[in-house]
Amino acid sequence: MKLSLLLTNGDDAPLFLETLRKADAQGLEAVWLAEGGGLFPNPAVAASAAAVATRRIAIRAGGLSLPLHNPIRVAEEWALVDNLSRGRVGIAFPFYDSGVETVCRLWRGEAERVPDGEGRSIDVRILPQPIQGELPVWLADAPAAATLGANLFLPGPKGLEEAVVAYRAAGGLGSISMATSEIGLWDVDRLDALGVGEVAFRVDLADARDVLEMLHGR
Amino acid sequence: MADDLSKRLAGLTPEQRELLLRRLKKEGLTVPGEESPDVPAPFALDPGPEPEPSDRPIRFSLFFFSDGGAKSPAESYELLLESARFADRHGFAAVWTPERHFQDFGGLYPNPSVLGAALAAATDRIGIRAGSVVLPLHEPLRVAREWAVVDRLSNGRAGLSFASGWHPTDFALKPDGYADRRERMFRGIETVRRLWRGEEGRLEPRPVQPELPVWVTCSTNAATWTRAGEIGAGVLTIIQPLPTLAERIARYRAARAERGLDPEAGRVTVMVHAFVGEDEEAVRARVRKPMTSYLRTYFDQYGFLAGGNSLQGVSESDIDTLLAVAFEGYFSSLSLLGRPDKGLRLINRLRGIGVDEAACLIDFGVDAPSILEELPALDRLQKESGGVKPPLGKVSEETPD
Repeated sequence: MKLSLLLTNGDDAPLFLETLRKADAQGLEAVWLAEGGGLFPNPAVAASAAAVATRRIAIRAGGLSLPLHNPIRVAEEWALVDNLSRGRVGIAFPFYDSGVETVCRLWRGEAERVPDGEGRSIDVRILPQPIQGELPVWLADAPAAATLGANLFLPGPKGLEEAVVAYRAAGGLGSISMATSEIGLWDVDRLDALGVGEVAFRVDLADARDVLEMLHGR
Repeated sequence: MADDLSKRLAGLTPEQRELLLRRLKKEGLTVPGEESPDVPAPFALDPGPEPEPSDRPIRFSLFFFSDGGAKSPAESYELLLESARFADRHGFAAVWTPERHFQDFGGLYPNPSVLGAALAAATDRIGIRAGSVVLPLHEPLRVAREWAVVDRLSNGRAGLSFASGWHPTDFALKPDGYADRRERMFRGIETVRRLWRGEEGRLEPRPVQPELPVWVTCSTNAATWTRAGEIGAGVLTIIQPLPTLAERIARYRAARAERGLDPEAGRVTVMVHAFVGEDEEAVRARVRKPMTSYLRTYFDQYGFLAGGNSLQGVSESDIDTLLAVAFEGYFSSLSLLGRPDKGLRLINRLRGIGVDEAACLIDFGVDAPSILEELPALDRLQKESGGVKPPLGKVSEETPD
């Protein structure tokens, strides 16, 4: 089972960088940054700092609500972080929006037709070119994740089995990650049996140090 | 070299020649002996009158704007981070990165807050600044929050220059922001400042600096300089003929005084190409090609080559001639390219007309290893200029390089 952190809130920047370095050294799979409060109004910003502070850990957006962001901007910014991290980024979207597909197309280098400032229709492509040819994407919506060929991201253990079944039934072949706030209450055998490959511990930045200690050696 | 240029200039028709000289003059470039078309060399930039000796302090910073010189984006970012670490250790004031979209030229910089966060994590005391955020493309709240994150990550080192944008393509990000972009920018600046101060409710995250250091990106448009002065912002501009620059700075400081602000406290930052080296000819050979292609883009943008109809039909080789003249002008006296004594002369002139900071454009196309090799020479020039502040105690001694 791969173990990860899902950081929420917290504006203590030194603690953020220290947490990232520890998680990196401890061999965690990923740090997910939840869009929202603290240092994460736009997770790409903190992710960029994380990229230069670490060597191997994956750095991902945990729940990017696309209607709030322009897909072009999301693709550009995460392509930048992909370069800084040498190909370690990924994004989880909480629900399906057509923007998810736009982000993926732009990531591959395809052009998007949009109006410019003078109302003309133009084709735009993003720069920089990312390191990874395909953007690793997770969706919380099981049927949509399967249809898009995305991975499945479950925000909690509730409804886990149903979601996994729906995902596989719809032809989902990707990996399955699950977030949880309850560090003690998980059953590896059950998760293994369901094919959950990653558990991400949702934690406020202020408590991340303790969680890392508990995960140490597991 | 100059002989070759003389021949090419002599080959222009009188009309083309007159046009070229007029346009060069507008850029502050003159060809001594222009009354006598047969002897156009040597080429020199009109430096204006010798400035009064000045003990005005001047700071140096690094300014990134291009992706020139590296083989891949990842390699370009390495150069950026390495250069920033060097500048951080050697007392440079800041590292600036721009915002650009959809173009190969500078395609590394979609959002300076994202790159700024990486620079913040990689350095300890250098300023982390955007040059510039194209404000009409963004919601002010988004800008304020992202830069508050950078301010926290850098422990209070963030700074922002704002631009109104000019390319309709960039506005694919916000098509309705184009028509009134200038007013949108000035309105947005006030909103960002109020948000930063917490006057619109508590900003999350809370920034470290109580007041956001703000610049306005100005070209030669006099009205923008005045407005920047009136709102108490600094000015970020590109090097231009010094008499023009001096006039704009005076105008800017007067506008500050008019509003009861200390005129001298307003910060004027001037971008200037930098590649310092003892061997003048070696540097010239190295920078000619990338500088010429930079000048071509620059003149294109401002309609210098294509604007109006008079240069239409001018052949590629005549354009080459014009660019060759412009290059010589920049190389000889409007850049920090070449010998340090020559660079020091420009720095002293800039101090004399009230410039506070030389933002060195180093990534205009020279290969990455050479740029890094050259940085110690730029640092020596900085120190000779008095343009370095002693470390702030955080870093106790300089790391030798």
